[in-house]
Formats: sequence, C-alpha cells, structure tokens
Amino acid sequence: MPGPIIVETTTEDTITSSPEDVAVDDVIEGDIVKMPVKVTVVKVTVTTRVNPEDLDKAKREALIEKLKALDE
Amino acid sequence: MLKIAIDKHFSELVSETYVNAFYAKQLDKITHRDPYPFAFLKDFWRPDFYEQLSNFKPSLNTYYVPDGEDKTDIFFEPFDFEPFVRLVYGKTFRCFLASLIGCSTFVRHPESYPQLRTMKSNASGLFIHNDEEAPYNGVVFFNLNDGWAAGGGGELVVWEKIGEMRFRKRFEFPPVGNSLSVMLLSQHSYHSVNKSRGDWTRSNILVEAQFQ
Repeated sequence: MPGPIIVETTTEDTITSSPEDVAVDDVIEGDIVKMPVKVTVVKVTVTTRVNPEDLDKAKREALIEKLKALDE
Repeated sequence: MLKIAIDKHFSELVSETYVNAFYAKQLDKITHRDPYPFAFLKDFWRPDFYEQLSNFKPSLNTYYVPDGEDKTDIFFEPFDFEPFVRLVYGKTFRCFLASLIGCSTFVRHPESYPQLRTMKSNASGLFIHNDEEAPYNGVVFFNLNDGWAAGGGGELVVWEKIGEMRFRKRFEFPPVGNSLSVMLLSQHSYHSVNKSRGDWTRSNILVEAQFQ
C-alpha cells in the first residue's frame, strides 16, 4: 500500500471582490472567472510518488461491481 | 402515472417528513424550480442512520488524494458503506432523488461511484459556475458537517443569471450536518460555494447522476 501524501498549504488573500459579500436578492456584476471567492496557493509535497488513480483502486473497483448489480 | 414501489429501507432510514411527501407526491412543496430545479433538505436521515454515516470516517491520514493539480486541498475516496450504497442506488431512492427535480429516475455512469469528499478548514470555495459541461446532468451532496457553526462559511449559493456577467443571489444554504442538496445541471444552474473558515472539516458524500 502506498504511503500517505503530505500536503502543505499556504493561503494568500488576494481577494478584490467576492460573491460572499452579496446579500440574497442582490446582484453581482463582472467577470465571474476573475472573481474567485479567495485565491488559495497550495504547496504539494509528495513523499511517495504514486499514481492517484492507483490509490483506493481495489476499493473503488469492488464498489463499482456492487453498483453494477444495482443498475440491473 | 408513475408507480412507486414501497421500499422498507427507504421508509426506515429517511426522515418521515420526506418519506410521506414522496409517497403523497407532494415533493414539489419542498423543492425549487426557480431559477432552476434544485432542492435543499435539512434533517434528511433518521438520527440513527445519520450517526452511522457520520461514523464512517474518511481515511485522510492513510491514503488521500489531492483532487486537481496544485490549487486545491479537496480529498476524496470511494464511499462503500453498504447500507448507504444499497439504498441510494436502489430503484426507490433513484426515483425519490429524481422527483425532487422533476425527473423520473437517474442512471449511473459506468465509472461513477459515491465519493466521500473532505475539504480541510480554510480551504477555498468555488466561484460562480454552472457545471454545464459535466459528464452527468445532476449532483447530490449528503452533508456530514456536524462541526459547522454560523460564521464557518461553506454555504451553497444559488444564483440566477440576469444578464451578461450579471447574477442575482437567490438562495444561500449553510452546509449543516444531515442535509441534502440535489441539483439539475444545465446552462442555467449557476451556483457557488463560500469559502470555509475556522476549525472544521467540510465533509460530504457526492453522488453523480444522469437524471431522466
């Protein structure tokens, strides 16, 4: 089983406008793509290199088999 | 007329309010069609079953996966709690979820499975988007956030597009524990998620659905 992935996070507050500041029934205008709630910069340090798809692979495949039976 | 099968587990595990509304065909009284079909239901599961769901802890400290490249700290894993899987993917519950948004049932994409998603505190929210391009047309979230308190953020916000780059905030729902949200995705289904704040871990079970 692969070892854990260690994730270190740091957050930068670069917010200029936020949909959170809008009250219900009020309107917000602008380019929503350029209007994040807040920009988060995440530094990822991987101690054991594994393909994310391989993590939980057996568990996922067993679950999908159960779901197939329910699909029918 | 759609015939609804009586499912003993559905009646035993889902709160009486919603079971009765479903069988009485009165779900339209507790759901929304404007600005697009969605529903947000509080106190969804019966307390005993909700406790079982909540105790099925995420394995964050063993194998967790950064979802995305380097900009997020959402983690997800298959959620294989047997009673939940059997109920939610059974015929009655599929019909119930679909009825919440005016559909008949949903089918599962061959590669789709329920996911337990966990977002650490102070993780970013999501800006206004509609998920129109998703490979499914509906999402269901079962919230497990008992640690949430007012001011904690993480609210689901429903927006109505009223013009080019103009949106009206229509609804805002706190991600309280034992709540459910379901949404029919389309070019109209604009929504966002407020940033979470403070010392709590946002956790929910995601079910992707192709509603019919």
